[in-house]
Amino acid sequence: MVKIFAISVMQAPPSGASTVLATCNDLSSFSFYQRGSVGEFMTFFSRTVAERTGQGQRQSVQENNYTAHVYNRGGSEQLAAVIITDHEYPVRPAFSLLTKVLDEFVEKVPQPSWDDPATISFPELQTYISRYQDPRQADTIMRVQAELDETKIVLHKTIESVLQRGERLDTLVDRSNHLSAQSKMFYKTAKKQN
Amino acid sequence: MALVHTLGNLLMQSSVLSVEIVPGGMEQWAIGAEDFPFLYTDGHLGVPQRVLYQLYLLAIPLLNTNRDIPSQADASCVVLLANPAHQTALNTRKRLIQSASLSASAELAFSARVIASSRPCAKESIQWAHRRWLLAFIYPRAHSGGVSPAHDGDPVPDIPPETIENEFGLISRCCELYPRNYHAWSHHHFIVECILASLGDSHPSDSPHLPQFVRQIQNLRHWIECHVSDYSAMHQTCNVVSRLQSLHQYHTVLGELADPSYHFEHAMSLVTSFPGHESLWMYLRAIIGASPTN
Amino acid sequence: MSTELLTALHVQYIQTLGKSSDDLVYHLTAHLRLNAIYWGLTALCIMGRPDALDQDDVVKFVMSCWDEQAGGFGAHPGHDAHIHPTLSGIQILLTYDSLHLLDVPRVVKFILSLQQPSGVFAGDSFGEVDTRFSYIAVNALSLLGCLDQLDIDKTVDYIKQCRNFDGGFGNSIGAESHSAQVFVCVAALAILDRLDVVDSETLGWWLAERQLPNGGLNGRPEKLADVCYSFWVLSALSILNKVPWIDCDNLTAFILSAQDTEKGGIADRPENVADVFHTQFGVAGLSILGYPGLEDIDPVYCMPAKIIDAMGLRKGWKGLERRTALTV
Ligand SMILES: CC(C)=CCC/C(C)=C/CC/C(C)=C/CC/C(C)=C/COP(=O)(O)OP(=O)(O)O
Repeated sequence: MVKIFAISVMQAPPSGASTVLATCNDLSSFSFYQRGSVGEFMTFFSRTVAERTGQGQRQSVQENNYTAHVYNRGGSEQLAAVIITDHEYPVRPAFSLLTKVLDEFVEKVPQPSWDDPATISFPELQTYISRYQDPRQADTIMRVQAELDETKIVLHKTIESVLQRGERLDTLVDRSNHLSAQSKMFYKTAKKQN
Repeated sequence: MALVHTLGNLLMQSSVLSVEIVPGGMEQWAIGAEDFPFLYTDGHLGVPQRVLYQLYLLAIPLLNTNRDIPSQADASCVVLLANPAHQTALNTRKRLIQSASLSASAELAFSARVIASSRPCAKESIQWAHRRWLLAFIYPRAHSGGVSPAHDGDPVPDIPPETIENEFGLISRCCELYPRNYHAWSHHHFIVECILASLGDSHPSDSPHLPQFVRQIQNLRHWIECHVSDYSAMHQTCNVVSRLQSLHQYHTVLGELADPSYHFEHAMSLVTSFPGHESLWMYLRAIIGASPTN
Repeated sequence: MSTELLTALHVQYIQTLGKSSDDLVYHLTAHLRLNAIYWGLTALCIMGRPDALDQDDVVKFVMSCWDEQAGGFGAHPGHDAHIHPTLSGIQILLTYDSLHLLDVPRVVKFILSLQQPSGVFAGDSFGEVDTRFSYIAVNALSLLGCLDQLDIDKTVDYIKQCRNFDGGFGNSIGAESHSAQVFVCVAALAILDRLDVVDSETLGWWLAERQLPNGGLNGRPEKLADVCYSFWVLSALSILNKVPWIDCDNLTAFILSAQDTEKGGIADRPENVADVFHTQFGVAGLSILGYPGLEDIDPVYCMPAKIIDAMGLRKGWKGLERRTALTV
């Protein structure tokens, strides 16, 4: 499937926890009782990879059926964006979309409001998530953005390879207080299903 | 035992929009009621897996030994939700329908709930076969026209457009749930054969099946664009394209859809965009094979 | 992970299956019970341990699955007769040289009653049709020496219509090619001496393309490798005499990597839970690959070659030479 599940913009300081500034999901393909958990998991996954992506770095990380594409633009704004797709969504359009999202976020959302994410309105994410379900749409922006060098984007086949030594995803999931007990349970069964 | 009947009853309710098996047991979902250990919100039924398995163990002996109709009906419902490949439970239900103890159209709706309830259900061949049996039972074709070579030389059922739309909807849901769903796509093939048989029966201008068919071909193309490794969908598209050639009387309505090169270009453009997908290369090869010039 | 077949462990694994007849798994798999016994028994035979189950118990169980009304076997006592467990029952009885217990004319009648006007077979009287069932019918009738009662042309004709442009076969007319369906169609045609229907060069290519970089084989394009396709693909290739068209060492390594090195058994792929189905088809695949110490499996009938040879039913197939030691 070529599918975007979630896009988020977050503030990711070089050390410490990230803050989600704006996020949007398309969870229509999930069943009713799964949706809440999948949504929580998407945010958890996005934050986990954003926090482990160095400033100025782009990388893609696979976990289960999902790929998170991260661009940590860093700088004084410390902004990062993550898009979660399935494995078939091509890499180049994903990153061109991330660049576009970050540019637009900075332009549309005044920096002072970042301290209070609840006040942020960035409805453009909704538009992107529906329009760019077809990556060939995103690819046309790409043709203009020649600066993106695909070969420099690292693809990690498992999330373990971006985690620090001694860290394990299962433990992170267990410990997270952003995930409900039900989400943790769904995570465990999803793992078995593959 | 009472719970087997409760669940069996619920599964047959037309107000139940979807059924799913959720992980864990009652505790994880903070279900307090012992006499209703399920989730039910806005027409969506959630059955905790551990609860389902307990009920399965109660339903099996009920199915085997208890010959009264309500027991058979409810026990087989529960058995099938937990074990969609249980042939004897499906046959039990067919026998109940044959003896008019169970409504065939209610069964069609129940079967849709079960098929879409989990990955193992969505991919189970005998579940799809059960649907075809029901469709043939409910919608027998009046005369011997519309014989499909693909289906036993028996006339395929004469399915009204609304029901056909439901079948297509169910197929796509099940193909999302279990990607590359072989038996769901076989079912698609069967439904298309039913449409073609109806088109053959009626007059070009007044067939409600025609716009539906056109929409479906467009949907197939769109599906492929979003599922670039779904060779099953591509294979079925090629089937449809090659069948279109014989529908001369409809070519003006079908327009470019009846033109093989239109489909060839589709395959070509997708291969260019996603050259890493084996399926798309196969699609290209197959679409050439499906063209009459070949 | 192990680079050797853990025969003793797998034998033990199969012996303990079905011992706990009151647990959930037993009841969830009851509709496959007779098939499962056939898989387990065949795997044991290939591993040189045909004596590892209690023959009397097994035969008694098989006979208790008889559906008197229909004249065939159900998968479990109390289940409706179906063509698949009927074949399994026949195969088990034959392996134990107990076919005399069977009412052969009745079974033959049951099987023949399932053929449809188009030539395909249904699984039971309610009519799910599939080339799987055509193979099962052909296999069973051949084992019972009753092929002469089958309308062979009609049977072949349906299979022929299931052939796709890629040389493969699907489960019904118009259906996508699938390795397991290729096996059932090619093996049925082999039994009926009608391999002329197969475009063996095109099909050989398609089958060889099932191999993935990890050495395993898949059932169709862009799907995951699965140990059971080691048998479905290899058996078809061996019937076409093209086993060397795939990288055999790599496949051997893949099958071995899917073993459960603690509890025994083979899974569909590494790290997954083992089951008797994948154990049988993994071991059968290794047998065709010439793995040392194993007995030959007849890929056409999927039974010990000794039995098929003794019945004079052997067709022209070719696996790899049996190796005498592990020298990979
Ligand atoms: C006597 C013997 C050996 C066999 C009897 C003959 C039978 C029943 C063969 C069945 C083989 C089989 C596994 C058929 C399944 C075919 C099919 C269409 C599977 C699709 O299912 P998925 O679960 O989607 O599998 P893949 O993803 O691997 O394609």
